[in-house]
Amino acid sequence: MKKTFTINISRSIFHIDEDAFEKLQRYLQMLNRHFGPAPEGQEILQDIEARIAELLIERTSNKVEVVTDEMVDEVIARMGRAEDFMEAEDDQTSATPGVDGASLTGDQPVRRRLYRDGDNRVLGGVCSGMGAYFNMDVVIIRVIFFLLFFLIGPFNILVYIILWISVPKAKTTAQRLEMRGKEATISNIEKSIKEEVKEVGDNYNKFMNSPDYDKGTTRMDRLGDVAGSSLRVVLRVIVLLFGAALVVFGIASLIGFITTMVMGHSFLHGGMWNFGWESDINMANLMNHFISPGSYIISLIAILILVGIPILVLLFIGTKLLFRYKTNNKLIGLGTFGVWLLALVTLIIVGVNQAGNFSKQTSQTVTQKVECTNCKTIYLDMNDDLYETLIDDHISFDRMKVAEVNGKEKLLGHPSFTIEKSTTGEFLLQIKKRARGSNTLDAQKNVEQITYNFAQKDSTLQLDPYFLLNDNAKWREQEVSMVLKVPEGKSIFMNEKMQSIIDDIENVNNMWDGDMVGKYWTMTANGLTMNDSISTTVKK
Amino acid sequence: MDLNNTKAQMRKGVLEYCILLVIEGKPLYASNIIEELKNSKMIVVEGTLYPLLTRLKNDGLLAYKWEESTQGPPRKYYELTEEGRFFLNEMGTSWDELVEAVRMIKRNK
Repeated sequence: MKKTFTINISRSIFHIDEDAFEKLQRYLQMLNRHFGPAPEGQEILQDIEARIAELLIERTSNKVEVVTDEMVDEVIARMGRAEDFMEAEDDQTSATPGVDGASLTGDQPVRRRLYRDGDNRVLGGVCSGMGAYFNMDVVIIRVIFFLLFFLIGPFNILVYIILWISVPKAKTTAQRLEMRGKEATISNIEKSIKEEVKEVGDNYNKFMNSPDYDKGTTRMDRLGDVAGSSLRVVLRVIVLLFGAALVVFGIASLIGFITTMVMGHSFLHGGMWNFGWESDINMANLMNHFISPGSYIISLIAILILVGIPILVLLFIGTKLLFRYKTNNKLIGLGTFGVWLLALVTLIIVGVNQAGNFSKQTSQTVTQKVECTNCKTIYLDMNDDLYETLIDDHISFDRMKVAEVNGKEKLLGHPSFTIEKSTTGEFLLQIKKRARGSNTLDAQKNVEQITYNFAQKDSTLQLDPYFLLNDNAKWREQEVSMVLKVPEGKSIFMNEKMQSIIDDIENVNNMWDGDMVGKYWTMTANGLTMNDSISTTVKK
Repeated sequence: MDLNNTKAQMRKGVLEYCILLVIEGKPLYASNIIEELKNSKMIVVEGTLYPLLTRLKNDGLLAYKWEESTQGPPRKYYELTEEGRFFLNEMGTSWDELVEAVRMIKRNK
């Protein structure tokens, strides 16, 4: 009693007994190694397979007859053995690039490779190919794939598409055999590594016991063999580990990246850009504060491509290293690279374009008299900080902040405040608003978007802690700086709250800004002087 | 000098010409071509013919069309293209010249 297999060669079904199957498998494998690497190799293989199928049909007069060892021998004799092809290869004009002779004899067991199985496909044959690779029922693979959907969501669809594009379909019978070839189980990998380790040992022994031990050249050759085969073992292990690491890393970054881009609010946190903080601000809205809406979407897509493609390439290389499938699709590779470059160029153009919005700066200064004819001291106070709790602490453009007011985002910033000597003998408050724009007119328009309020109550100057930008205004490096001109002989008192806006006030006592609050200061001929120090100098 | 090797080299040199010659008359299926070539001992195994056919096709000398077969898969029927016909003529001329040259040298001995 003999075991029979059912095989499909060039779309014809054959029953074949075990010995004949193995012989045919090795033969097709040899042909694949021989012709496979040439560009027209697949076509030649398909032609040859079609012919083999035809020869076998002639020999199995009815559909029930089993293909035997002898029939396969006859077919091989007609089609040509490995040696016949090697002879043909001596011809330099032969279209088949050389493969070293040893591998053509086809004695090695067929190694398993990952292919897509077009015969049992539902969509692209990825699952059926996986089933063949892992020697599992396709149904189980499909169920696992389906369950993965609940675990990692739409990413498994993405993974499926990547595999669909990158894993080749098993077209020729040789490839279909490779698809179900020697199992790539851990024990098999271990076995093949052990075999190679043994080979290292053999080579070493041969090297030590070699009669021409001291003949320089042979010795070097043997040494090379030993080194070569040990290196191969190490490399194999490294490649497997590296592949696994790439796949894990690739999936992790992909999940992180896509989550942050699509589902999260911003791509600035999480994944590869984890700065260790969380933000409730919607990135799209946020970007709108300083980029025109159209360019924002374009740059977002460009960033998606720019970062996404390298991650996909990592994944692709990783799976390729693990499953050892072949790919010949230069077009997809070049296309992907092209798209990536395009994204890069787009981003640069958008960036340059946006930078153009900052090219010109302009300012507008308003000077107002602070009434203090009878008073000696002006008290500087700040209005309550209404926005403190609304400000998102994580985001600031320069000195500006984003606050959420009634569900709308508002840009605001601290003004800067300093004190100088007045030349007119009066208290004057100078408010200078500055902004940038693509040209002076545009900058002027941006200046006008700034609102800053203050009020005077008797001898108290009530300053707002923030200047605000009108709704829909873009961030264009807006600044508000105030100068209070104090005439000689008059004093000021700064409230503790002023600490947040005072900026570099020159004073005779050389005191830091932060220490100046809560004290009385008088403008003297030398400059601003602290009152206590005046009294001390007077006392002396 | 290896006699067998030299013979094989000579055969290979004219093999493409012979294939074109065989196909010249009418569209032929690979196994018909093989029959002819086997009869004239130009090739020994069929496997070596397929790479040659594919290359001649890719070079634009041959074209093929699919035809259904009563037994087994559809067959590729090869025929000469315009370019192939021109090529065959040119090769024919130079072949005749070669044969003539060899004949003259032999006779003058």
